[in-house]
Amino acid sequence: MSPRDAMFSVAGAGRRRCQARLAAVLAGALLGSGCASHGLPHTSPTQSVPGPDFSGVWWVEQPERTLLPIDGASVPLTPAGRRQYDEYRAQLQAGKIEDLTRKYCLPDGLPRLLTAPYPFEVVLTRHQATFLHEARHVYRAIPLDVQHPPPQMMLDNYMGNSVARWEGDTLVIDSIRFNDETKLDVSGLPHSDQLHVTERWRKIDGGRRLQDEITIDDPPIFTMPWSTRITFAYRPDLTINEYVCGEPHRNRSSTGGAR
Amino acid sequence: MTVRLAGFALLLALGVLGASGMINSARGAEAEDAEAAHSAFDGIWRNAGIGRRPPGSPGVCCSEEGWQDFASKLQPWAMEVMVRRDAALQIGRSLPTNTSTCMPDGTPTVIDIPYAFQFVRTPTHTYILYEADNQSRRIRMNSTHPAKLAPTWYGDSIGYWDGDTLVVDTVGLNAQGQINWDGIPHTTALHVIERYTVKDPGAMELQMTLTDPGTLTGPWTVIKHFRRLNETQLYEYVCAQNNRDQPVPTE
Repeated sequence: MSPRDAMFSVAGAGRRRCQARLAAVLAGALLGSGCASHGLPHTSPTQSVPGPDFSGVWWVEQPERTLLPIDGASVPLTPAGRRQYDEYRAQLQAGKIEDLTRKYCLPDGLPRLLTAPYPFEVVLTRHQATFLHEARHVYRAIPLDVQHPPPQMMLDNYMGNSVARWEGDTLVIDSIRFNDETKLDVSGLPHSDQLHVTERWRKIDGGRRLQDEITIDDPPIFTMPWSTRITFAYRPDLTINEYVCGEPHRNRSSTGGAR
Repeated sequence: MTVRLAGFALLLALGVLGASGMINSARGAEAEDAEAAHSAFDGIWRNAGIGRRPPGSPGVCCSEEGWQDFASKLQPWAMEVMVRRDAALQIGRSLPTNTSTCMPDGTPTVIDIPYAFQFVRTPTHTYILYEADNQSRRIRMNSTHPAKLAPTWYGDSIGYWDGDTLVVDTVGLNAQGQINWDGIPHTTALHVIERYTVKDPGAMELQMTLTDPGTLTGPWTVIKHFRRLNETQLYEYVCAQNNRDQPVPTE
């Protein structure tokens, strides 16, 4: 079995486990979701979905925020990371360089995309977590219950390479193999090709808000892994608009979140 | 007497429960069959042939007959645009269409492109994710078009299941897109009906009917074939990264 086959047989095993659990639930004559609570197709993106399923439209609460560690400490930059960060910011401020993500309308990378001032729609199904971001029409199609493909099967991407799994009420997304054309946030926080992003998504406040607790591990840039939080408001009143580079768009400032 | 009545009530209750159980299980079986048929759409698909022109003739579709049928319905102005674009392509020039400038392909060109795509199904929506430049479409199932629509690149799409066939109905398209890769224009009156059927686990057929009085003298139907791609994924595709090439002459 090639590593590629192994990756997909893990998916098969996940499905079989799910079916076995579903059968057990049905045999017990229980009405309810069984393994459905972990990612069966949701009922409607315009209704609040009970359980951990956070399918629906969400909008970041604090757009374009500079990322800070949860514990209130400063970002644990290594000397090399500090140098890169300071140089980039100085050059940006002096107008010597431009924010290429904006200039060329490129995918923001992680976690920066999550702070973009546009809504996104989450579609959670059995075998995939799909995030449809309005910003720069980026989608993430993240397979569930599989391992990362072997290294030779992965390309370095703006959005990295992601796999996901449910841990209780939390969807955990593991992303590696990012290209070096993105920054971690709008302030220009750098990363290297060793960046490893772990996201832990779960509903908070009775499902009115969504939280992503993000752990960033990147030894050349940071002295230790550190975590930050981004929160989102549930917006069943919105659908995702077309986003065409070069055309005017709605964003948080243009609508005031008031639609 | 009381006992008999109670016994009768119990039998009645059991009968009702049993009957409703049978109805429920019949409905359940139907739903399961439908789910099994619809799940055949899951996975990654790709154009089986990219549907370029037959040698020697400009045009869209897959066969000489199809081209004849299409050409006979194309309004003269649309034919002129297509011939001009085609002539430019023949001498290695690329006129600035939406596709060549990293604008959205839009509906229905996005269906015509030789990159993978995936259906994502929920009870209320069907999404189509296209590998080509991160494009996606959102199809409301069992819904209606709004009375007023601002034209967009992908239009307003509603869908329903006709047995095992997924039907997608799209209106509200802007006039910046094209009918397909070959540069055939359309107007905002374009109405696209797609009928996707999985013929066997590895093959899907699309019967697509285009109606656009501004471009075509009558409805035109084309058949497209897709094959399933196993053990793969949608790869990241960023048009702006690859296509930052030199300026192209204006039309």
